[in-house]
Amino acid sequence: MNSLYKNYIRNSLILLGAASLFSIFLNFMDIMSENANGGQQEWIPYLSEWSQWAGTIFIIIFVVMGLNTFLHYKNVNKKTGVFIKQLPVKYSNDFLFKTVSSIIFIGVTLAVLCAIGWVMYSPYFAEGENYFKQMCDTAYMTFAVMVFFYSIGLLSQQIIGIPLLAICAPFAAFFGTLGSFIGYESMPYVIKELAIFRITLDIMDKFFDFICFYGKIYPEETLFIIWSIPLFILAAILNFKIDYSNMGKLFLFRWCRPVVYIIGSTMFAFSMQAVVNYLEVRSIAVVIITFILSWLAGFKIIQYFVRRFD
Amino acid sequence: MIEIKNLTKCYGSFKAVDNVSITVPKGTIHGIIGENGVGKTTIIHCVTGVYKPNEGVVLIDGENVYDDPKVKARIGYVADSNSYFPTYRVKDMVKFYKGIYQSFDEECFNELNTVFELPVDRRINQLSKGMQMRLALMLNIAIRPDVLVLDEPTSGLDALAKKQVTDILIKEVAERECTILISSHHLSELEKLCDDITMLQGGRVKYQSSVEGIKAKVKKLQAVFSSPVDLSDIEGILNVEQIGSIYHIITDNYTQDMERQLYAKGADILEEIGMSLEEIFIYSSKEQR
Repeated sequence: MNSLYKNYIRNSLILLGAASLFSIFLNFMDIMSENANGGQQEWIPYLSEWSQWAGTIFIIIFVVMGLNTFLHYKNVNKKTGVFIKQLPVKYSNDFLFKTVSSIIFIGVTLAVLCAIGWVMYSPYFAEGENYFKQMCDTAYMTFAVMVFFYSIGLLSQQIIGIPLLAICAPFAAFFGTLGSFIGYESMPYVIKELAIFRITLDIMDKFFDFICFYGKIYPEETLFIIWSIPLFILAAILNFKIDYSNMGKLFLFRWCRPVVYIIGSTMFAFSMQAVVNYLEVRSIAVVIITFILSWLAGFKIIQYFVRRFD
Repeated sequence: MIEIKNLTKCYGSFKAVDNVSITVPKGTIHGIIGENGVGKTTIIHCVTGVYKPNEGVVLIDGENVYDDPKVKARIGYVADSNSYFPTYRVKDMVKFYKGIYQSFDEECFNELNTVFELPVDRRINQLSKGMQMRLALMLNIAIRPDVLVLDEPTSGLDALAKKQVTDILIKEVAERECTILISSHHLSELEKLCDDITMLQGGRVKYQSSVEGIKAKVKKLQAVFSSPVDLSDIEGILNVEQIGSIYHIITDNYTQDMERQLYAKGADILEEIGMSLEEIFIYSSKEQR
């Protein structure tokens, strides 16, 4: 392991340690406060706190990883980046750094889960309501969502050169997708049957059937983990293609620009259908006109941000 | 040996470096000069493997430098402002370099520090610009590079330190046959130090030769005319300055034909005056404007 990794990992661990201690301190203060107010003096509430702590630490780790990646990119974009890039270290180490961070992230998560598991099967807690099973379910789900978000984040880091936007990208993608689904559901049936939508939506349906393993029953957390794998692989492939002299630009790859314009505007147009639905005007003409207008509005909003940051 | 072959580097639609070729033989010092923004640092970033050329290739002893850690491990690079990790101490940077470069020679670093006298316990952000430059030089010489690339290596250094740096560079070339590529605005230093010079203009090579070769090509003539004359119709004249009846003529194409034309225009006296590299640079830049 070369010094560059050590440097990154040391920074990651310092941030992670600080975040964990802060989280423990907050929980400790909470428990002390509950006791002082005459709260229950039993084990269950303590363990419930522990469950909360596990959830909190997942979120904190995710934020820490995001911050660390942001700081790393900030360095890469500025003069320290020139220093880093001229070192005899393969550029793909940039991806490896993130993977190493992910491993720390996963490692800590597993450690927390093992600790919870140990408590769950401990004879002391074999009786009573099974809070621990619920606790583990919550923890696993949080973990799966985090890994999924992390994979989208990693992919975004590889294609967007401005780190802050790349960190926002997973959330934008999530809310954009959610908005477009809700918007699509709000559309009148006749519109959904229009040829242009039907063909697109048929393809989308088949695509979603495919990625959701249609006909098979998988828990959501498994699906999240499965979806993460191709995203990680795609991010790794793109990492090899990055021209680092483009760092600091909004998009590291040319094809990202039209993709963002088309997908972004379309998502915005679908999302707006949910708003239009509130107006209770259900004529086809209104839907089509608002769709086109909101598509153009989405295009303009994206154009504004692209011009501002590129 | 450094071979830059038909290098072109663009930033968006802007062509910063346009079809530049430079060869630096082993054990020689090559200087790159030019006005601000002509592409000196871009060339250096391509040579150190920071940037990927749009066209052309940069080879170090026949191997492509971009994204090749083995080749990069043989290159020492001192940037004009070296942005190391600001919270690291000098000794931490030594440790960091030891981890990155297998060839790092700590004894050499300590030996250099007897000359430069850097406080090893001080943090990078507490060092002055000159001290940071000294640190960069010491670290990059201590990796025992085959190729040393320096971008304004003497900026921020006092006169004594400049002399020390020049001496160390000459020693590196003489003792280890290190190949050195320098970009600098201190042309008087380059003139003393470099075997060959490339002068850039608008991202392209304007002159490329040995220092003596450039001096032999670009000449300053002092001519005395008894009456005012217009010399604009003579080809190859870069610049004319008139003080009374004395004309200082800068040319990069001094031939017998030009001499004949000057006499034909009424020159009473015509003599060559020696030019420094700095003067050549100034007149060549003026010509472009």
